[in-house]
Amino acid sequence: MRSNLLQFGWSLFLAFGLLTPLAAQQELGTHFLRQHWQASLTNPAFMTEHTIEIGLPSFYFNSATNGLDFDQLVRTTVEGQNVVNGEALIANQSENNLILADFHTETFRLGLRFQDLQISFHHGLRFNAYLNYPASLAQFIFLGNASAVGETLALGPDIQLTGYNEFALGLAHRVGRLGIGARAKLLTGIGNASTENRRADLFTDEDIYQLTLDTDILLNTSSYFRINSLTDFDLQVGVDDFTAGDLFNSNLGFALDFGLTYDLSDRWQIAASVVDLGGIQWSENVVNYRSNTNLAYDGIAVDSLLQSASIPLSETLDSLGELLTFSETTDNYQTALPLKVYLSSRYQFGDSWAVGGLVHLVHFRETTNWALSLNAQRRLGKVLSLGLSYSIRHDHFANLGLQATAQLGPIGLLVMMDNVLASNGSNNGLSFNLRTGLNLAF
Amino acid sequence: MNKVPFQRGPFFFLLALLTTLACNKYDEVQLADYRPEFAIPLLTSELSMEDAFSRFGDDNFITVDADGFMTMNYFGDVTARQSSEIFESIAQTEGTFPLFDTISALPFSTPNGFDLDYALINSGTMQILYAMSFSEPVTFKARFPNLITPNGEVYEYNYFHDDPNFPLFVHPQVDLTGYTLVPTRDSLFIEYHVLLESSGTRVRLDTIGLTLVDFTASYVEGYMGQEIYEIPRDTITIDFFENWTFGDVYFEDPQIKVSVINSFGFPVRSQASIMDVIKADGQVITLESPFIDSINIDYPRLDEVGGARTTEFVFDRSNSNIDEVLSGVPIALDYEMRALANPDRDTSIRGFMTDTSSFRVQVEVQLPLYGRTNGFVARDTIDVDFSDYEQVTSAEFKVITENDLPLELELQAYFLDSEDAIIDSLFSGPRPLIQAAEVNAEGIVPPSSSNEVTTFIEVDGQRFTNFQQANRVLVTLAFSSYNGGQTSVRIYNDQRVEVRMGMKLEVQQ
Repeated sequence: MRSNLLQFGWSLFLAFGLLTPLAAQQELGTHFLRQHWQASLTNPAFMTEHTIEIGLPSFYFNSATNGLDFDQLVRTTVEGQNVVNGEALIANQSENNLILADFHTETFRLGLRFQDLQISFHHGLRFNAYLNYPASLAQFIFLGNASAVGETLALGPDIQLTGYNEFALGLAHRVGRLGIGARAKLLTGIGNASTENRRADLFTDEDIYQLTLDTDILLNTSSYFRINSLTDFDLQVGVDDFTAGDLFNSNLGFALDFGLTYDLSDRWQIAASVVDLGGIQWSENVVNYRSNTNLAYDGIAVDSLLQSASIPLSETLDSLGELLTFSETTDNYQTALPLKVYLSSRYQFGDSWAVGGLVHLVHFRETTNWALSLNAQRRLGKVLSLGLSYSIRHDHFANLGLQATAQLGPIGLLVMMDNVLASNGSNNGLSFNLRTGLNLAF
Repeated sequence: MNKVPFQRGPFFFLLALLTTLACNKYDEVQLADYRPEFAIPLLTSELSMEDAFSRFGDDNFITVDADGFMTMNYFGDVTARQSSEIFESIAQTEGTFPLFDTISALPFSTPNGFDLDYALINSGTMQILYAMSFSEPVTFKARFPNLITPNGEVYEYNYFHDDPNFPLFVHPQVDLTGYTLVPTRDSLFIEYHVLLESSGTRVRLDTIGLTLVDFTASYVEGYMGQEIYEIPRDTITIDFFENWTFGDVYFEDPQIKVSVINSFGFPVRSQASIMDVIKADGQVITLESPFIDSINIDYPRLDEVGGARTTEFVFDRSNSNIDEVLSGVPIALDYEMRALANPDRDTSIRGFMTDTSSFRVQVEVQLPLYGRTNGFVARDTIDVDFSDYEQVTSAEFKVITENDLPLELELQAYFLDSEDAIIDSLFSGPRPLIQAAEVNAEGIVPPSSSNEVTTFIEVDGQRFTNFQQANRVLVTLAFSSYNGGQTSVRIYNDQRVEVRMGMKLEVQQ
């Protein structure tokens, strides 16, 4: 049976799924990798000891949910086949469910230090995906609406899929105990799909299941998405789709990073920063999809069932398919970047040990997520440094992080994960991130 | 442009999201076999009795009185335009007639008992012919005292012969159109004179004749005599029961109304030679009534020539066995009538007829929808197409009926394949679906007495698979009036039955 509402719901999951690593959020362990430039991504006031730093491609991936455990999402059947665990999805979801993913690549970075002044430039490629879907959407997809007769199902998800370039020019300066830093970033948008309004409420009447669809949907898109109909849409997004032509276009934006450090003593430093204060103005290949209606469907009106020569079953499905239609405009629009705040404290014990704490906030799409992290790092000789962190994030308390860096002459390597337990599938899968980096430092 | 396959949507979602976790567990994730169940409305249908009956005929089929009470009406209409014998006999008055004396009478014949006062000649020509042999000029004069010209004068004809010696002289034809014939003692007299010029003496001709050709009349007046007029046989089809299978219907107050429109100007009495009702089971029952052969039909008087008068007579329960005749399942009324002119042979009644006079008989079968039925079954076939529902594994139909009618409906549906073989049925046996609304002692449904019933029909996977193979559905509907068909009920045009149907479908993705 063609269920167009169902298909639309899946399209949202699908859109999110194909946009592989997408959507913003909480990078904690990198903040403690002070010996590498990557830490300055979290606070532009952080400076390393090196005079010249060249950052080779560095990658960061992050995914997180606020209730859905990835480990629970997939189950293994008796036959040994991995399948989507719809029942677990329904049972473990919250009223509003977040699925987030980030993929960042810093393609190149150059940092020059002149005593207490550091100038830096980098190019980054950012792909963010944010999906906030109501529990009733998954219920509708997996269970249908038959169990919700007499109820209203909220089906409208909140989504933002964004890809953009970041050309950043940073400046950090130390004055006595105080360190200040700022970074100005020119942004060029590669593609975007984001909801500005997302109400899509489906009511199923107890009488004969008459359907009422109340919508106030505004989906703004730039390049990523084309909707021809509820069952026919074009999705062209993802890392693999990036080309050199996407570096510069008319989707311009601007963002600022600010940071402070203060040495309470030679060993104790506190820091605060605000990162990604800004947004992008989308004007290229823009299509706005709007639906603002209150549609009722009571079934096919048959002149007289007892006199009809046919029962219009197919017309029922056709009419359902026409229930939701979109009007299109091409109005430019803006999106904001996820605003991040870092508040930290770090204490150095001798030359080998350092411990720190971090409060991290991310504000995005009217939602603020927080995380707390405690970190301990130990330098092992001149080459290796290991770090361990314990974090609380998304109301989940079992996040054990690991950082490892190595400095082999001018070559610096780093690997960071905030939740190593998620990688082997043995524990919760609520969040996972990974950063790798390769630097040359002189 | 890529269309994202619906079925692979979740798979791609998982693949994209979870393969990045570099965990074997998330490699090659497949879709689970989940079966959502969707509730959707299917249809709403409202049937009013006026709409239900409207498909059986034109606008006159159903009449509705001021209270909305409905009556079915079936009509028959037969016109008999029969040329009477009098016109035929007049038409036979043609040929060449010898005149044996100066005053002669034409052999003008009329049917027995017919007494012609006058006739208006519609067509015909007349010629006089004779032979003469005189030595002096003569004047021929002819006079037709029974023939009146259109100017109202007796027709006379004069001709002067200055050399009256010829074996045969034929005068020009005289066109008699518009002339009036006023016979004397059923005769047309001709008087002629031949006057000698010199003396004025009248002489008789030995050889003289009169030729009449194409002599017809368009109007006759007098005593028309007694004559039988045959009205063609007709059949009124009662198609309301065309989908009947079995069961009975009893009408409390049926009527057959006979209307005769008579433009003949003389008294007529009906003689119904045939008045039979044919039943669906082949039975033929004759309408019996003491009035069947004794309806006096009104007629236009002499000052109403060209007009007509209508006589109506109603056969009902009080004067016939019509309730018996029209009970059961009547499908046709077969009738034939005859009209007897001057049934009382009253010669003092002077009537008329024209060449366009006619009898028009209209028969109307009236079936007021007041009665009872028990187990009256009708069948109909409806096309269906379940091809868009291939993924449905089971279904539950919810049918809500609101019934203002005092009729109970039992439904059964048989699903037929392309060969019209039965694949499955909706119910294992007939089940009441639409309950009858309650009635009072007069058979009337009181206000706010509609009956609402909700019925759930569950169809499991195997049965739904059977339904999907069907091309048509044979629907059988058994009607019974209130109280199991024991109570007579009245049907009004504002009574209606509403059927609303929704369904829950379990779908395998």
